[in-house]
Amino acid sequence: MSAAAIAPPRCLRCHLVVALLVVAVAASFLYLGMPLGRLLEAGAWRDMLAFLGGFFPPEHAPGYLARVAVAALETLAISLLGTLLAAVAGAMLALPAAGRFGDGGRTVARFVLNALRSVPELVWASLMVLAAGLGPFAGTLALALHTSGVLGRLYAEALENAPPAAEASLVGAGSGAVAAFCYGTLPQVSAQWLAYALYRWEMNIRMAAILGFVGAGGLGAMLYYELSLFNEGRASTVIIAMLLLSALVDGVSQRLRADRPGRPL
Amino acid sequence: MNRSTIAIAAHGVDVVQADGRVALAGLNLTVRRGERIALIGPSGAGKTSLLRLCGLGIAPARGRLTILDQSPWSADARGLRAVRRRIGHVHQLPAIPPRQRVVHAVLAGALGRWPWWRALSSLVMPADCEGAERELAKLALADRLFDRCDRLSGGQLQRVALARVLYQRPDLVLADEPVSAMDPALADTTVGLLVADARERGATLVASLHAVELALRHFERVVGIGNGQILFDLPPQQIDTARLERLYAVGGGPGARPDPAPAVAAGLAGATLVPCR
Amino acid sequence: MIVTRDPAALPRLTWSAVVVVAMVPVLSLAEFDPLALLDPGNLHAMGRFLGGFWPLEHSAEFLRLLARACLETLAMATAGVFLAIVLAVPLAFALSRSLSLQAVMAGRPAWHEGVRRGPLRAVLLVLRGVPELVWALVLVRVFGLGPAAGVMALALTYGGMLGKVYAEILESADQGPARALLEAGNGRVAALAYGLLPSCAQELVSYTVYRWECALRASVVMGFVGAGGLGQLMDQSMKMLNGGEAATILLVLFALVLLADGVSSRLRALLA
Repeated sequence: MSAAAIAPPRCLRCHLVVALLVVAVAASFLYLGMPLGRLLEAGAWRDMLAFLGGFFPPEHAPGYLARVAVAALETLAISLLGTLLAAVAGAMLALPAAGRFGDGGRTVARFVLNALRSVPELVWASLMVLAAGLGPFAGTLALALHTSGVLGRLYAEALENAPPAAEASLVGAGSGAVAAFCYGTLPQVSAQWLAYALYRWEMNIRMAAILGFVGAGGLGAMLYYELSLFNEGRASTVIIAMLLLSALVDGVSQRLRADRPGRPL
Repeated sequence: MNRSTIAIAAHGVDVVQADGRVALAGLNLTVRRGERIALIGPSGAGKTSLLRLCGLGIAPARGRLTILDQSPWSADARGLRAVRRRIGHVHQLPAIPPRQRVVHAVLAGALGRWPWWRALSSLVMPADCEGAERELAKLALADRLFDRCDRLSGGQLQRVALARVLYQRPDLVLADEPVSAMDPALADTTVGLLVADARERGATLVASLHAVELALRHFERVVGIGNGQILFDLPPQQIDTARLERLYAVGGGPGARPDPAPAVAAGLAGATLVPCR
Repeated sequence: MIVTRDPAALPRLTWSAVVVVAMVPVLSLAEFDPLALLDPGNLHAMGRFLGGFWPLEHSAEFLRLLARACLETLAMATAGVFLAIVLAVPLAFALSRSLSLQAVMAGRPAWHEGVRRGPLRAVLLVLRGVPELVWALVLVRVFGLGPAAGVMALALTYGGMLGKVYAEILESADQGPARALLEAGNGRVAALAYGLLPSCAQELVSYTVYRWECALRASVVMGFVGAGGLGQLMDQSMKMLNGGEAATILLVLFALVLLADGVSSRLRALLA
């Protein structure tokens, strides 16, 4: 590479990083004791193919399909409600996190937001199953908790980036704090807040599909149940439903985003 | 309420900006209720600072300030808000969210007197479309009532900001270059409208103007500001070309920058200094 | 004077009504019931569990177990992403239109290339459309309980994702150099290495690092379906309602996610 001649120190570091990566990968495989050798045995492949063959044909009795459809709707409902609750909670937390209630409030709110989003949805779900019992409501709460951490941080950033002049001028004309916020700052962030919420909803639909593994309802619960009974044919119907749901979400969001490039993270 | 006759009384007031720049030094100014005053002077002379001082956007570093018979900076938050409610401030660059609809931007003038639940419900169903339309009609903008503000030109946006202040019906109107983005004819009628509104309601009007001829034509008292100080305070008949030339030769305030663009930026940044309560 | 009526009022009213009506089935499907949180049985279980959070479990034996689980999680993410790259590179190479010889020779891709790419695209779609946790749940039945299923699950899902994104990155790069190389009669590998990689390498690596970060987050929960790592420990502690262990694990999990964040942004900054 020509860059090497110009800036050798940087490339020394590159070599070091590459070497470290190679060591890390090798160490990972050694540590896990991966049975990679087994992948080369014919017997293992035969077992695998036999197992995968069990997934075909997918179960397609009308009664079962209807149950899968209901579970898919349940998944959608979990994701929608979870995202909705998260948007509300995220907005409530974003106000202090953007420093509107002093430095103390900001520190506390930021800590809460970080804690909420650092715990994965699935861990929240297993906690919520304890708190609210088995079923989709636990999944809804789990999604709401994790997502409010994510959305709260994004919302707070949007608030901090909004020009303050509009709200300040309303306060200067004697309006109350709530009204000044709603007329001065909210219109400047609402579109972005909505875009963030929609984007998270898209992710949450996929997530809601697997929360059922820990007993939080939806398609996941069904898949877990069928697989534990070794009903591979029925399980594969559920997996296909998940694929369809995910493809549907992909298609819709691509349509919606076609005229608005720049997906928010 | 005490109906005394003084709207603004400043004695020996210094104004220091956030960056430490002295914007006004030893200011003495008395404005009677119902008076209409124009501020003229070069960019950076302190016109915007004076308006922000009167609009309670910045506290005096020294001196005594009375606005509408109150000493707002010694009052509590509630008292300060009560005074602010009676002040309408048109900023140099209209501070209106781009995606807001015109009707809400105008009705926002009433936020000081509306209870919070009325303010919020009006965002869903505009509470007083007729009132907003009436004020916009005075400014020939009634047809844009339900447009979004980012679809308006700079001059139209300035008129929306004026309509908001008209709708607020404040006792003290402060206008910082309210017609800077309008063509001369429109600027003239608009300033005339502002003056007429103040006269009808017996309100006090203080406006800074770049166009000296507007100041001389519409106002009964013209204050020249240069270098952070009041250089003259006269009826328009007594202002001659020589005085104006001296005023604009003085240049901006202490440490002022000569070009007008930073002054605009300073006006914007200034608006951010208002404490959020 | 014009008749003043808000033109947005009717659509707004209609939409609000639609949303309110639509919320009824949503609430019932999600079994929305905040009172369940106050159910005495649930309150008791949760209270006992949370009460156990302090003191944190810190016996040497448990900490040793925890350290092993952490290393296992890190190793799963790293090995999984490595296998994903191995899977993604040939797929992206085959898929990317940038390296189409036909397009160079005939001006546009030949019809049979489209036919060849169709199934490949479908494979990628299925690979990444099935969440890694679902793959893990299935593969646990092939590889048995333990990290092997988790690694393979990551390899499949992330292989599909990386394959798609790699192909897109190659297609979005400046096509000039690769085309020139192909036209001069060089092979596709040469065109890739000398025509495309110099301009896309940084983006490719950066995206891979980002995916490693995601893989680490995923590895943390793999254990919930029996695929090893920290999640397995967490699952056991939760099932036994051992609050002290769960609290320690949560703290470690916190640290691990922060670490992934830090390492990933460091590495990507190094590239930029």
